[in-house]
Amino acid sequence: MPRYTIHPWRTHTDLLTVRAQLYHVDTPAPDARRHAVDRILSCWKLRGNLPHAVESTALLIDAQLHHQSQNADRSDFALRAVYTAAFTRFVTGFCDIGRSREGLLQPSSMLDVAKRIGMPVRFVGLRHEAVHEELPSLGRLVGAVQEALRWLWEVYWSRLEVSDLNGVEGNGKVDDGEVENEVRRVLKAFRSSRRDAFRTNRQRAAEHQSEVEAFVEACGRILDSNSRDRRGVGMFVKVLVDERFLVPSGRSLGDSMDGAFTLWDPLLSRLVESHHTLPAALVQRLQAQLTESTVQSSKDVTSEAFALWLLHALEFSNTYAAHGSTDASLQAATLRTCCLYPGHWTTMVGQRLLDRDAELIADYQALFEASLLVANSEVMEEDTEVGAAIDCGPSELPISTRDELVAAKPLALLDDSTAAVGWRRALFAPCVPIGIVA
Amino acid sequence: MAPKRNAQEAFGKPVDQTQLSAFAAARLAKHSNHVPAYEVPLEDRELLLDATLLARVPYDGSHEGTTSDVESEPVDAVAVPKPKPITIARLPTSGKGVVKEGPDGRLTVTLRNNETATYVGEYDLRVLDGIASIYGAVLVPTSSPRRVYAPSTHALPVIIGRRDGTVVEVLHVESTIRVLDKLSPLFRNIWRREDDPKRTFQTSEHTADDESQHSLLSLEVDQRTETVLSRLAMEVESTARLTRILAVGAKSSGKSTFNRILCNALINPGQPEFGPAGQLSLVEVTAPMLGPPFTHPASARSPEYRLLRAHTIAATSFKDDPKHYVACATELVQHADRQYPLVVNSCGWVNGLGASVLQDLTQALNITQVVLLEPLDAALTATLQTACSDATFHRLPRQPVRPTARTPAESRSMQTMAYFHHRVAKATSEPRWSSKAISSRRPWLVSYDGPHAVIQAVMSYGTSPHPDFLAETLDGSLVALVRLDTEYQREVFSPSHHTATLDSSTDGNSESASATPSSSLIKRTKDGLPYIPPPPSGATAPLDPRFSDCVSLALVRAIDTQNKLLHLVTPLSESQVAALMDQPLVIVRGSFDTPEWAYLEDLHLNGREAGMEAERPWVSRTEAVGIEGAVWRLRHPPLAG
Repeated sequence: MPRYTIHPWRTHTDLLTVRAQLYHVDTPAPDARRHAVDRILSCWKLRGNLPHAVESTALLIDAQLHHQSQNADRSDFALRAVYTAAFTRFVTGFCDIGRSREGLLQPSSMLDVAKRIGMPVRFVGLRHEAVHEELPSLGRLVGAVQEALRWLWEVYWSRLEVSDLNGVEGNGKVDDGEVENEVRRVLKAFRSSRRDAFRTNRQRAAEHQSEVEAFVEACGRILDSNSRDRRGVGMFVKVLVDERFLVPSGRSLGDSMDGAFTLWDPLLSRLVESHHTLPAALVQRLQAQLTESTVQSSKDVTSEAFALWLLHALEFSNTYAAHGSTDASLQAATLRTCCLYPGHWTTMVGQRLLDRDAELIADYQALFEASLLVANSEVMEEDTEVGAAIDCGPSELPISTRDELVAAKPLALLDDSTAAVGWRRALFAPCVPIGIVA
Repeated sequence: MAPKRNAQEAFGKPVDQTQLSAFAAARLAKHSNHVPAYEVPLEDRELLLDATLLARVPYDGSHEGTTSDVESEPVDAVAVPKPKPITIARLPTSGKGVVKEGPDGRLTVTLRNNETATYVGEYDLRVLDGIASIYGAVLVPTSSPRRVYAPSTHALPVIIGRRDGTVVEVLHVESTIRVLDKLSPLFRNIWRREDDPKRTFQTSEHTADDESQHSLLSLEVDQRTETVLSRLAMEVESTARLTRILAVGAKSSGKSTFNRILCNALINPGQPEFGPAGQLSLVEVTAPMLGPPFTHPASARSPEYRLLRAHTIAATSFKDDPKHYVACATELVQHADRQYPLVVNSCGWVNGLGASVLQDLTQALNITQVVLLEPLDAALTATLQTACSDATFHRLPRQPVRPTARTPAESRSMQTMAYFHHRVAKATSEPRWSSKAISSRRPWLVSYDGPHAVIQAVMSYGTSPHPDFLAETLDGSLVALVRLDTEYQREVFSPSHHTATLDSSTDGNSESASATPSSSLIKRTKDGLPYIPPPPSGATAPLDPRFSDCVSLALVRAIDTQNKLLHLVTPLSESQVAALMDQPLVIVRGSFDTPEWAYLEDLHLNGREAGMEAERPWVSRTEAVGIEGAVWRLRHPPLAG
């Protein structure tokens, strides 16, 4: 059974950003550390569930920043007190947590706990001195705080999972943009390599096969990156689909897609084998392309290409996916989307799926036909409340009404007059997790 | 093919927790303080003390049970209508009564005097003949059936025959609270076993060997308690003067249970505790409270537990502003009808700051009856007795300590979750709970900036977040919605009011108050969120309880910075919100617990994998095997350069 951890940072990337800001003092922005410390102490701490290592690091660095600041009023006592408070809280916290984890009736001493967790015992000594004896001298405190930060790096920060993309964390910026750039670069290179191979008719040559192999590996690394929140896969399909890599340029309506399939299949089939979340992500993204487009025109070349790709993707997921269970539900989900968003190309996809699979016919034939009727009928009932409950799509309005509205905008925000009211109830039950604007 | 081993074979038999040695019980109690439900249990002792693991643990005072013992429940002040005289009988002895089983799962139990029957689960209780008592409430044949909530996590209420030949009926009910099972593991396996679809309850003997291994305890009212209860009941009955009762005791010493029983004894058949953590409420109780707190939420529309007025301290402890806490309680009590006895549910912080607050409270509220639950510091007792020389003191012996099935934080979670899911059905007075995940409730879109803004300001009690991070702090958090008195909108933001003596509040000094107009006090973040910057002296002054009251808690579901809207989920009904629409409101954030339950409900509801594909803020999946066992490599040396 999966377990879930709640943390105060919104995404893992946020935590990595903060790490980069805290530990790379030589990066251009001098305020970065200040910003990160403020974010931890005056936001994450208040949200709760802040790991002690993160809090301690922020406190220790805050003390250093206080020391570096040009405030003339600062007394020697104030400086030492700030360092001492940060340091003692750091040590006491680790020892307390360790003791409570032991769950012994007779708790171990701080020293014992420190030894067992590999915390330098002089940390405990200095804490004891600071609490029970004289405040330690500034020089010793400065040294101890630096040492403490190094220790925290070792036991906590260095062990965070990161993407394996080189250089990303070194720059201190781990943002989606860089991953996307990487995806773009790899995909472009793959496409030209394949084209060259076809042009020179060496697509079966061993040399080209090893090139393909290298691309599979590169893409695999991207897909594995940020594997904890599965963003690698999301960003990969986003670039692949949204940036029209799959659609041959200069294509006309009705042209065969076989060329494009041949070009991409060696890469995609291998990736689908090794990454079981990829088929669903790819299919979803292709569906989104079909349903999000403002007008599903029967003349739209790109939509046709996506519809054909969607069918193709479902087929090769069936063939290659290592986890056989995904396919049936993927087909059903696709068919449901087709029913809910009836349009020229979704209808085409739906019909082909039904033709292929007898089981789907039993479950979906009636709904599918009904959706066609609705799409073609003139009179539309705006049953927003019920409609919203059916599925999570952004807009379930049938195609003919959608054309009249500004499509793809949540209905609640359409009407300017509603904005004039201080309180109003959302029209749709949201289907996104807490924290995301529906 | 060899049959698969089941988990029990693989890991050995679970420890039988029904027979705990004192030592084990102590350990269990200690442990249950520390192990939150969502945390990965760590079996391996060696792993326990790995620095990297410790590094991930928040250090927030929950690790030293003895030192910062400051988790305080909010004060509930309960006004109960004038009671009829009640004689409470002696301690029940033994005997199980004669049980007959009816067709629809109902049990008809004949009890002799002092015979008892105990059930776990959810049921309606009706007295057909004679007199029975439960939870201190006395039921007679003319009483309407009473809903009893007896989860195995709490001591079970005992039905006691008060006369020979008493016949009670225990009825199967349409469960209303069990919809929460699907939404959080905290609510799972606490009612009864699944194998009997006929009944929503079962006798407690059956559950003792239940696989869920709950240690079942029944709620026993001992001789001394009975004596004190009847003395208090007599007092209320006989004196014409105002009665205000305060129970004082350490945490988990049984104050709330005592108060519940007391209320139940004072009103004739009836039941309530009330708001979520961080809220102080004044509730009029007309029906007995036959279940743990989360089963009887108060609301302004509930006929049985009518919420009269509430304030928020926006924290689970009053340690940051004890003065405000006392001011809120004092103000609430002024709204209580003086002809009803008032039971004050105090907090369990009985040393240090907690003790001095208790003393202030006893004086400020004009408490007439103090019930002392042992063990109590002798110095505190002495101080209270000197401070309130007019009050009568009652003393109760130490109650047995029970290992708790839920940590205080988990109990607060359950309470808050039940609060958000609670609906008052118009037709019946019976509480209902919504089975929808909180994330799929339609939120209220409330504008916070622009000409139609209804949110005047976001106030922070305790530590204020840096304005740059206000939105990040607020998003997905719990806040209190506080209504301002329109006339005093200016004054309410001014500091130092609540420290003034409240008795002088009736004169016209509010006109002359030298308050800064609120408009100049309020700043905006770059997202347009209005806030009140803390004064150089430190914390923002809390809202004056005389000019404001807490309407409800709300979950900030999302912040739409583009349209300047807060998406709020509240338990308020549409009509209650409609009544608020033209009122000035303030959002108070403080140190409410993170609403972890809310982030996870739809995951629990939809089963494991669903939903984790998409972005889910603040939540990570912890792989069952993994991180801990993985090999870590050291990356860059720290402080490179």
